[in-house]
Amino acid sequence: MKIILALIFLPFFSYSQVNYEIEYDVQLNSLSRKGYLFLNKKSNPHYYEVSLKDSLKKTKSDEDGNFEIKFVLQTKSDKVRRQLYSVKNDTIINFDYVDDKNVAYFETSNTINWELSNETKEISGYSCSKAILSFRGRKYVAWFTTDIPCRFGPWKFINTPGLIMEIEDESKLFSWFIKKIKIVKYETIHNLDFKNDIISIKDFVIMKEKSDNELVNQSMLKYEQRGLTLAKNEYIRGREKTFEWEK
Amino acid sequence: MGKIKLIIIAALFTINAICQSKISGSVTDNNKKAVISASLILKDSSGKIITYTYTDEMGKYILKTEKTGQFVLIASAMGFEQKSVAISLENETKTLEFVLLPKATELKEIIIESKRPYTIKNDSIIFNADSYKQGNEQTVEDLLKKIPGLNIDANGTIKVGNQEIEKVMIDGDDMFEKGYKILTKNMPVNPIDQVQLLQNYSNNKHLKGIENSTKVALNLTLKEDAKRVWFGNISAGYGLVSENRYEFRSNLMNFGKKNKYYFLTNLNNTGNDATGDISNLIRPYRFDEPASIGDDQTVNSLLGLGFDTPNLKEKRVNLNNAEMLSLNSIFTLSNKVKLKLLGFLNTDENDFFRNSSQQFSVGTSTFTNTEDFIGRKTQITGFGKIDLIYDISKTKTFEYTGKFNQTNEKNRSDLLFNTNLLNEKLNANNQLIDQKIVFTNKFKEKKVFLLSARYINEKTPQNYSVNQFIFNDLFTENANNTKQFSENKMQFAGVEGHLLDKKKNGDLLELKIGNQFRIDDLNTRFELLENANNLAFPNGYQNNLTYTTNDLYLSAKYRFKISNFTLLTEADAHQLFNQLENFEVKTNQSPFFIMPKIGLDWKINEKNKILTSYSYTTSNAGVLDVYSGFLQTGFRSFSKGLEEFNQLNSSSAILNYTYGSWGDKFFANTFILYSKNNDFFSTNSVITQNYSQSEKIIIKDREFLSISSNIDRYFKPIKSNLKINLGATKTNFKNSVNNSNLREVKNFNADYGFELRSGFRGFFNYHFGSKWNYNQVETTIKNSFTNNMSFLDLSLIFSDKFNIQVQSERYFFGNLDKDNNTYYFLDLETRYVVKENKLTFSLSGNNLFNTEKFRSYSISDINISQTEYRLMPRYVLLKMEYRF
Repeated sequence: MKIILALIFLPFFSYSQVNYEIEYDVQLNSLSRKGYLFLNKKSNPHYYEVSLKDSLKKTKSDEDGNFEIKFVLQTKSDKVRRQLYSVKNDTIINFDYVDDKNVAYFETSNTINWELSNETKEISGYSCSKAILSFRGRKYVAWFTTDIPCRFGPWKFINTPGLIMEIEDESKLFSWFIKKIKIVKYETIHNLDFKNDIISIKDFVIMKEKSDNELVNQSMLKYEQRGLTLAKNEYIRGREKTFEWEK
Repeated sequence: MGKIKLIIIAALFTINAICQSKISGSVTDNNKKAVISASLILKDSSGKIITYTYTDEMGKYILKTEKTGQFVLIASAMGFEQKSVAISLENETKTLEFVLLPKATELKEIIIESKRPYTIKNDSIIFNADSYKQGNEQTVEDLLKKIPGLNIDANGTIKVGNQEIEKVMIDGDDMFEKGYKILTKNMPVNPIDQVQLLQNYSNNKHLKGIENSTKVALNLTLKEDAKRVWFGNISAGYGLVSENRYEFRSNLMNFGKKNKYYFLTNLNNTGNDATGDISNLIRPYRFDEPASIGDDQTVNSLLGLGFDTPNLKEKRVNLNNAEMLSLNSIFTLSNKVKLKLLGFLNTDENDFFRNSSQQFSVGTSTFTNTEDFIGRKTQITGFGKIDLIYDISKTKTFEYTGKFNQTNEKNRSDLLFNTNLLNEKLNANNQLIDQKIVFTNKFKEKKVFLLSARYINEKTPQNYSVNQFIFNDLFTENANNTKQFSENKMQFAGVEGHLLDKKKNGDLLELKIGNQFRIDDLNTRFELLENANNLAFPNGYQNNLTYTTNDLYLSAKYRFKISNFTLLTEADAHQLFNQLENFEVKTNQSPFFIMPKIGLDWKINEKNKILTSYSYTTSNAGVLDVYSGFLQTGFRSFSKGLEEFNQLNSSSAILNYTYGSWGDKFFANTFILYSKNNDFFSTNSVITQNYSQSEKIIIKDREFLSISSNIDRYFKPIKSNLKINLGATKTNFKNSVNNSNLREVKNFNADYGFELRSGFRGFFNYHFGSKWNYNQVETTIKNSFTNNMSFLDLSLIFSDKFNIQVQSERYFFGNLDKDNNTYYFLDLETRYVVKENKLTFSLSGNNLFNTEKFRSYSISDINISQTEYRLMPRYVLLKMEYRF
């Protein structure tokens, strides 16, 4: 596995002249989040979401305002889900955690097939086109602009003809709305500390659900009343409702 | 020949099928460096995107299309000027190279004004019911189970994270308070439009965001076109292999946009307190809330017939026959006016059977009293409550609440006291009229003023008679029976202004000014009779007292936050005017005092939290502390007050330390309370075989210390949670018995126990534990005992349709004799769902070991007692629940 990773993280040519930090307003069910998409000269595009309270932790800058943000992925303190896009392999590498254990899993972009529509609308002066995506049990409508030729978007939404300005699922439970596009001087560097497992997405889903169920147990069991049967809570899936292997 | 033709046609066809244009090439910058992930978009003449692709890591691309005609190929990349080339395609292969020039000027920052189609309001999260429905939901509970973040346990308790919700409202109206399960378990899901999760919820909407609240509540909004339907459930049970046991319960509801109705009834003789379902409605639990003036004003009845029950499950000890009917409704009279009505009628008959023996050892005298008690309590209660809410404007609300209660109680007993057979009769009533108005004005964004006024009038008259005379040692009259009439009447009138001012930095200032006036009338007449003839109203056994207290007070509270510390400071200044009128002799007193309180919460980090507080309290004596004549409080007991005013001082300190949170594997909580009474009410009593008389005295220095700790540890390999509870309390005080000198009484009590509970996802779960209780009382002699209770509960869920719950307990009394010291109980409940959310049958077996008697043991500073109670015998109930 280490070899595969090494290949993916080979230094590669610049695809952009400057560094971008793109901020999204994210609504995941009842949770409000901020999403950050980084497009860098030196490393792979990278996306993650944080709660509204947290913001980017920037390290010191030098005189020119150039500095680096280091993401030490796969460390215990890094309890943030991240997506890294490997341009070379057209692959999404997901960094996640189950309990206290960090894991990574890969998925190819072939589950992400956009259906372009003729509809257009303007968002903040950008002419946007509509694209529809059926992805893992939810139907999304995205508005992208080819004025900003970026194939990367929030979360796993990649490979649109232009940057996604808005994307929302049919039930309106999940949405990403662009807020800011910044040209920044800093670089985001990924420090990979791969002591941990690379697992298949299927294994990840199974592990994650098992662990979440156990967390519910952990707190429900503390209640004192006798005689209560514990709820067999149905595991409620979020963005991803059904997976390819479940069909 | 034919064959060749066919091959040619097939070949042609194949060529046709793969007939498409292919454009390839590379994208480089002006330094001939490859541009990666540049986008290449092929548009037709109308600007429609035909196809698109990106350059690979070598800057190369390939585009394919089956379309023919005129097109534009656009190459672009972030930070470069885009380039477009017009091309015409006729199923051909083309090569197009692009050289992109860096953008001359690039914007530094683009801020996009995105318009969300819906807004997320602070503190309220809205879920559209339709978005969460999967089609198989029938009740509201089914829907709530699908909403992330809500945990619903098998009993229907709804939690957000680990916190139980306050209430479930419908269109902002609340009918159930904490009894919301009746609603969520029965209401059909169809009329629900939205589920709103309200965080930092305030019962008074104007206080939202101003008072410090951590409460959560749910609000369900109804669809505009939702049809009003009656819905509800019926549950009926009947004893199978036992004497006549039954229970019947029914809930009936109808919710419309304008009017809402909720009726319920509960009839049973299975030990269920029928008003339990609506106790939350009668007296909503509001702790430390603005406009709660008068909530602490009650009047106590003076005498009871010793209807005590052992500390076991209610269904084992409550030998009842209850009937209850309750009607509730909410009427929206206009946009601004809402009327809520609640009423119930409850009748109950309770039987009590108890045999006890008490060994007294006071000073040099020792004796034993035995009591064989058979009692019956019959009561009827009527209760009504009106709430009128008038929203004067967006920021002003007027509320009126009126409560009316009438309880009539008839109590009878046959009591074999040593060799005397006594017959006690007690008729007791309670009449209550309680009216409150509250005016709320949110006069500024973060400032609210509340003005509340309340009037309460409560009476508890009692008529008590005993057909025997056992007080020959006390009275010389040749009586053969006694009577006591007593009336304890209270009138309360209070008015309070309350200002809440939330500062910009989040600090909260509260100012309260008010006046509370209370008159207590205590009239008691104890008489000695010979048959029906009055022989005497003995001196010193009568009361005719009017006690008036007026409390003018000013209270200031300031709560502020400095980094991880929250500091709460409070000072209450009270000017009292007390008047005591005893047999037309008046005395007055007007003390002034200040009560300070300080609290500090320190959140050391996410895992460690400390809460501390210190307060110095002065409490004014109540009417039952100041009366001057003995009054009868039991068949052989009398007590009397201090005959004078007093205010008692005490100080207390609290420390609470929490490690971790409910969601963690390890969670621990320790609570320490220490209080010291500078002076306190103790007793000077005379105890003889046939009577006891105690009078209040004031003694200096009483100490109380209580420490409790609980620890939770989740063990992942066995998917079980271990809970350990430890607790100890110690009290030291002094009293006097039979004219002894003051003697010190030391009480020590320790509890310790553990529980292990599994959280398997499979069909089987267990929960067992054991708890020990050690008690020690030390006067001139020392007595102690250790009791133990263990339990084992098993849950077997065979399917969604069929489950079995088993509960068993073992009680052990260390100081009882071998034949009477251990008691076992077993209850079993099986449920079979015939049709989900429609029809369920259950069979519950109660007290299956048929333990009919239960003896308990206790010690005090004057006696050691053993009491044997009669319990609800074994019965099996077949129950049917039907939802409509």
